[in-house]
Amino acid sequence: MALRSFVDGAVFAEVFGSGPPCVLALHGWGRRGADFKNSLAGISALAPDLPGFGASPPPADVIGAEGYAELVSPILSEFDKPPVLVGHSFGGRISVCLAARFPERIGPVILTGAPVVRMAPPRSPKLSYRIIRSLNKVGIVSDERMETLRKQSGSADYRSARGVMRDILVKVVNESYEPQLRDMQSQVFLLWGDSDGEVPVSVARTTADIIGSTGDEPELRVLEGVGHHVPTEAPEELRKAIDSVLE
Amino acid sequence: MPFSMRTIFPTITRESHRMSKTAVVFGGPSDEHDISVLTGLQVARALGDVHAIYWSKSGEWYLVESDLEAGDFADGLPRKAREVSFVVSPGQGFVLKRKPLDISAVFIACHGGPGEDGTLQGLFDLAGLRYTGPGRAASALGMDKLAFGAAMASAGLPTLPRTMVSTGEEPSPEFDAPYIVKPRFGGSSIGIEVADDWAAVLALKRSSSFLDQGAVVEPFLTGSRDLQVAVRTHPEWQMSAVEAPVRSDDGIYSYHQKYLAWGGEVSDGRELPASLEVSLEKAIYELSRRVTEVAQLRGIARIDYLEKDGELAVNEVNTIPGSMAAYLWVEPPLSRRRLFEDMMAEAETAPTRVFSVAGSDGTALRSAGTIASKLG
Repeated sequence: MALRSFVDGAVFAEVFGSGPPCVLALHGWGRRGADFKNSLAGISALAPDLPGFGASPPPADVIGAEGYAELVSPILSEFDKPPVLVGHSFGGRISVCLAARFPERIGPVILTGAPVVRMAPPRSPKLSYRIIRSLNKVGIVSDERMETLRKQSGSADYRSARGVMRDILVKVVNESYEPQLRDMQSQVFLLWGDSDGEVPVSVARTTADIIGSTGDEPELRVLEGVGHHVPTEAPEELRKAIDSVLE
Repeated sequence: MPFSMRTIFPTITRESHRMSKTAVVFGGPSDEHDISVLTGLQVARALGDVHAIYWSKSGEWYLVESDLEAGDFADGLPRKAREVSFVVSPGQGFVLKRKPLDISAVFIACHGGPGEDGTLQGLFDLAGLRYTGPGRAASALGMDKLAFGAAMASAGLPTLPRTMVSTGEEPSPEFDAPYIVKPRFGGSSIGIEVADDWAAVLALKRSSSFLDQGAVVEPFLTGSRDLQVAVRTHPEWQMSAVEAPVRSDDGIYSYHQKYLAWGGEVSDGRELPASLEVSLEKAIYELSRRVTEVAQLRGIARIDYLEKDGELAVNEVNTIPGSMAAYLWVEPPLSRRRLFEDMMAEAETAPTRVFSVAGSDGTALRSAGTIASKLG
C-alpha cells in the first residue's frame, strides 16, 4: 500500500495490490484512504485521500458531494471494467453521486454509515447563540468571540475543520441525495453498524426503501456491536461484502 | 512600604522564584507544542522545585506553577501565568519585572521547531545560560534529515540512500520504489508518506505544505523493522535497552499512534527490551557510540535504526525525544528523577559553547588606520 498521484496531483490514492484495480473505496470525513488497509489487503484497489484529507490538497472552492464526485471521476479511467465502489460515510455521499452520474462506469456499490438521505431535521441553535450571531453580523460582537462560540457549539468535525473545509462540511451536511438514489443503476449493498450513533440504521432502511421504489431493493446487513466506522471497526465484514459482489 | 515583611524576607515569602533554581522550558511555537508541554510537566514534577517556564505557541514566555496538569494548557494559558521577557545579554536571560530569574541551568523540554533545532540553544548561548541537550550546531544537525544522513555517511556509518526533493521536478533516484517521503526538517511523523512511484513523490512535494522546506526521499524497506534506543552522555556514556516497536500495516507510525492514543510516546505491542541476537545488540551498541560522537549528542537522545536481515542503517536521531525517552531505561533501570538530575548536572558543569575572542587583541585595530583609507 503506497500513494500514487492522480488528476495532476489534485488527488492522491493508496494503491493496493499490483494488478489492474477492481475496487474504488471512498473514505469518510476527516479520515483517509488508509482506512481501508485491512479490508482491501490482497485485492487490487484504489483508495483515494479525498481532497482536503490525508495527502490530497483541499478543493479550491466550496463544493458538495457532486463537486467531489466530479473531482474524483478522472480516477475512473484507471479501471478496465466498472469497479466495485465502496463508500463510507461522507464517501458514501460521493459514491451515490458518482454512480448516478456515470451509471455505465460504476459496478456494484457498497454503502456503509452513509448519510445519503436527510436525517431528523437539524436542531436550530440555542436562542443565546442566535442572538450573539446576529450581534456579530452587525459588528457588536467580535469575530474572535464568535469563533470561540462556534467552536464551543459545533460538532467535533466542525471544530477541527479549517478554511474551505469548514464551509464544505456545512454545505455537505445539509445535502440529501434522493434523486441520485433513484437514478442509480448499480446493484447496492448496505452494510451498517447497529451501534452507529452518527448515521443510525434507520437511515439505511430509508435508503433501501428509496432505491427499492425504482429498482431492486438492496440487501441490508446490520453488524451487531459495530459503530459508525465500519472500515476500521469491522474490516473483515466489509471485506466479505466486497468479495460477495466482486464475483 | 519600605519595611514590610516582603522586603525583609523576599526569598522565603512570595519571591521564591528569585532563588537560584533549575528552569524547565517547554512548549514553544512548534507542531509538537502539546507533546512538549507533557514532557516539560513530567520533568518539572520529577525535579521538584524549579522555575517552570512555558513558551506559548505565539512565542511569549510565562513563569507558571510547576505542579500544573497538562489539561491546564489545553485551551491556552494556565492560571496564574506571569509573563517574563528574555534579554539577550550575558547575565540576563529570563527577566521577571526587570529582574533576571536566578537560573542554575535550563532543562530544555521542547520538541520540534525552534526549541529543538538550535534556535533556542543559540539564544541561551548568547545570554550565557547553560542548558541540557546538544548545543546549537548539533541541535540543527539533528533536525535536518538531509545533513544528518550526509554526516553519518561521511563518517562511514551505514545509512539508507537519501535524496532531496526541493523543486518537485527532480529526476528519479537510483534506488527503486516504493519511496518514503519525509519533511527535510522536523522530528515528528507529520507529513511522512509512502509513495508508490516517483510521480507521486514529486506531486506530494508540490502539494504538501509539510514539504515546503524540502523533502528527503529514501527507499521504503518492505519487511524492515525499526529499532530504537536511547543514549545518554553523563555521568558516562550509556545506552538504554533496545525497543522494537510493532509497525502498523502501512509501515510507519502515525502521529496519533505514536503519541495520543497512549497518552505518551509508548506504542502498543512494543517489545522492550527487544529480544535481539547478541551480535545485533552489540552492533547497535558500537554504532550508537559512533553516532553520539559524530552527531555530538548530549544529554539524552534517541537513535532510530532500520534493521532488515541483520543489517542496520542509522535512520534518524531525536535530540530531545518525547518524555526524554525515559521509558527506554529499563536495562539499566534508571528512574526519571535520576536521568533528569544527571542531565542537569551535565548542563551545570560546562556550557555547550564558549565564545572565543583570542586573536582579537586590538593589534589589527590599532594598525588599521582610518576607515576612509579602507574605502579608497
